[in-house]
Amino acid sequence: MNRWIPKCLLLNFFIYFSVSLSRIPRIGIGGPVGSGKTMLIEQMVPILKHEGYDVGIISNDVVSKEDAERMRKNLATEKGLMPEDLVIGIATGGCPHTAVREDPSINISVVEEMEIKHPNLDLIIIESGGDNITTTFSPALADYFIYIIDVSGGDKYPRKRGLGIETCDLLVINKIDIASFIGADLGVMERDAKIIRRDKPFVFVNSKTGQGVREATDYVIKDVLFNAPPKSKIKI
Amino acid sequence: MLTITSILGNIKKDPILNQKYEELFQKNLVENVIIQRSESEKVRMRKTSDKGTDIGFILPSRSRLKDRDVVFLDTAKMILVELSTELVAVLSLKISLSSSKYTGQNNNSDLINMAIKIGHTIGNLHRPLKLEENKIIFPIQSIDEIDLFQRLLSHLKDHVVINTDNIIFEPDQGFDIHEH
Repeated sequence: MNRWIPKCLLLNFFIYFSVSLSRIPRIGIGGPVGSGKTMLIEQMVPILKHEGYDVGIISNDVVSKEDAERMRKNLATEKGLMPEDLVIGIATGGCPHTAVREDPSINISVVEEMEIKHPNLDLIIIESGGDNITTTFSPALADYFIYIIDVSGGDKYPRKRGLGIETCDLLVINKIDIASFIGADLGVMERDAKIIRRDKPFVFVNSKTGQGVREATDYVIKDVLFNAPPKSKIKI
Repeated sequence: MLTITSILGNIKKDPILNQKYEELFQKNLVENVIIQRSESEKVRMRKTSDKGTDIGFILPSRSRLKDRDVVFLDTAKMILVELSTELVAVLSLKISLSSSKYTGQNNNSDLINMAIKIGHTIGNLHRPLKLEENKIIFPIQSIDEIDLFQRLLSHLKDHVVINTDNIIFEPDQGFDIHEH
């Protein structure tokens, strides 16, 4: 049997133990301005924390750090779910996708700094600045990509496709509570999402009330954290 | 969950692995885990093989999964990566890139001129690229995009035929740029 194992396997094991184990799983969240990226994080983090998972957040904005400041106040200062220094804002200055795809070096450097300072984190969430339907994350930056849209753009949104909607690991359709007010048919969105996404998942949520967020978080726990126990609960 | 931490090799390149693949395939002991090209650079992901094996990939940074990579092997099972097919545009040049018959004369500058114009047009749209003999292949998201390329390359219509295909697309090394 051993003769089928390439000689580089031992080296690979070394790389795995020295590099991969120190790499904290990362998810990227992208979507248009106002689609609910920040609020989704504000709803997911308490669920993750309740399960024992410690989370860090990096929030990209174009010209401000408003979203990071809001999450720091809400999740760290008021709810005490994380230290304040685990919510970091980045003002990207230019096209938001540049900082998470073309040249994610600024985000990677902040992620690596977080990994060194807080090696016991279970997950790092990276929020992109608001962008268009072609947003994607560089795989060098994020292991898992959530793309969020909302119903206010109309029920045609999923079938408009675009790389974000098509290739993300989880499509979140937000603000389902206002669908009836703007004439968006959730049945049409569900039908089209199934066609476009094929076997990839999507969930309907209302980030204001938290409806559907548990299901979205369960995908993260299963597909990114591999249902592993939180590091804080592992006895060595 | 079966945790995969390394890529053992590729049956297209490793004759020993290929022989092992043939043996196990005859015994119905080969499983495929299907991934999209957009997932090939992911170092952490969870997948299910076509025979139901739950797989967690935790690969070293900068790993890249290729079609027919072997990610698991023992006496009872081989697990292979299978890249899913995708829609591509195929630009067929009516001349060979190795010749200079673009204008019917030996005119290298015309050939270079055409290559640069095509490269500039595709590059402007940020597409990864594969070259095969006199074909230029790159992914598209919809057949409707062909209209766009026919218009952009209309000045070369006598020398370039544009078609679509559904294939396993693996860009040439160095031409796997981000796309949007």
